[in-house]
Amino acid sequence: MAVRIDPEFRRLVRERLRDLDFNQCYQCGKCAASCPVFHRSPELLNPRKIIHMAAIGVREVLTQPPLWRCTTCYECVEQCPQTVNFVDLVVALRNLAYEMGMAPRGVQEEVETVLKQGFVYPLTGRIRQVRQRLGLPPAASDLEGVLQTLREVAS
Amino acid sequence: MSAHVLYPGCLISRRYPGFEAAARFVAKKLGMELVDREGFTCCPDPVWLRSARQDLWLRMAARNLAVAAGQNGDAGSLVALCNGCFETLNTALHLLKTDQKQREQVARFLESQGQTLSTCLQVKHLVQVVYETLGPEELKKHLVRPLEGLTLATHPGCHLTRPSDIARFDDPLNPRALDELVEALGARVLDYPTKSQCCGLPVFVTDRELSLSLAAEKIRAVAQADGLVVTCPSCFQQFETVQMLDRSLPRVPVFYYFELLALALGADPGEIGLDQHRIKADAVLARLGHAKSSAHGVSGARGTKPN
Repeated sequence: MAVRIDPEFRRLVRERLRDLDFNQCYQCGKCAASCPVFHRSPELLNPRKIIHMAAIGVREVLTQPPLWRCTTCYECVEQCPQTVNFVDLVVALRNLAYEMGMAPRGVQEEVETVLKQGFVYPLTGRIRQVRQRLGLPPAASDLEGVLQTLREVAS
Repeated sequence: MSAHVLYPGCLISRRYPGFEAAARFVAKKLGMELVDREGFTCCPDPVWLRSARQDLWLRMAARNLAVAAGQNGDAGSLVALCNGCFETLNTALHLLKTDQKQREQVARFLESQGQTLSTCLQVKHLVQVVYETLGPEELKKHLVRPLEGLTLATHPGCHLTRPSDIARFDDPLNPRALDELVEALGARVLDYPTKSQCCGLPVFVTDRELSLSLAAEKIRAVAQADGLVVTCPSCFQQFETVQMLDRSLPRVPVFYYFELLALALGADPGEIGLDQHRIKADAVLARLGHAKSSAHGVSGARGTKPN
């Protein structure tokens, strides 16, 4: 597939991700060698390739599935000879994609859930019972005030 | 030992309350005071909330740090029971200490909530607290019921030790602390090549097949073990889910480390909710001399769906 460089996207990445040193990458591929997803198949995720796409300005890096397959395990970060923090890069690119409405549906749902209840997981009646039986303090507290402010920050 | 503020987390307090009971039991037996605070939110999730809205993620984490510090800002440490909470709270603390621009924005947000930014406390995982303040040798002296005869595999989980400049615990590429803490309980530890590899849970939302294949690979690698020991409820959930969904996999009961430590310190399986596991641990418990925990069973355990 031909790679299309988008100068506007390249400028956007350089401006928004300027605190990240991913331009220090010299494409050695040690990140790929240490990546558990790459080991399943290089087609699934190749960290070296993501860094390259971000550096030269290939907009498809945001929309293609590999960006969303990084588990953030940090194996590559521990091994990079150039101290490039691939996870920080992934997080920044995903934030950019989310802002542009390109994040997968499941990711959007999680943000909505956290802003709605303050937690990823609901507190069910059954869990309340189990907590009580185990002698644990109640897990609920009133978070409406802070959630309201966070929703304002989010919108 | 000094007092620690407990951060129970949302997956543990809302899905695996037995882990919280086990942690509290262990703290009590080891003479460690855990202080509860009112008003925590989700840490929040270090993978997807941070991946979507790093600004919200940092504000929520900073607020939890402020809640932990309390009115006088005098908390020494905030103790997480989950690798994800440990990662979020520690990474946020690191950012708030090193990034002045974000620090100022977050401080203003906290002021609007009547709270003060606090970066003076330390964030620790309970595993780290036990390892650093007692250590395996000292821990052995407290055991009343060692786990003799068991062979266990360990899965320390990525974020207990990585990123190493923030976690500052154990060797990030060849973690040993959990092995030592399991050996201290009297069990033999099974070594396997992919020990430090990810459980796959973070990508369950975006690529379920990949996520489960990472977990399945690890379950196959530890098939000879009597159990798989984790320090994180997300890893626990993932390793149980993959076994529920893929019946061709070997059955390996999964244990949260503090469940095993609690048993070794004399806990009854029922009082730490061991009957709530989806992959039943009855065979392992029977070998340790515990009768089937039905007397303490709660109806509805079987209704817990894999997700």
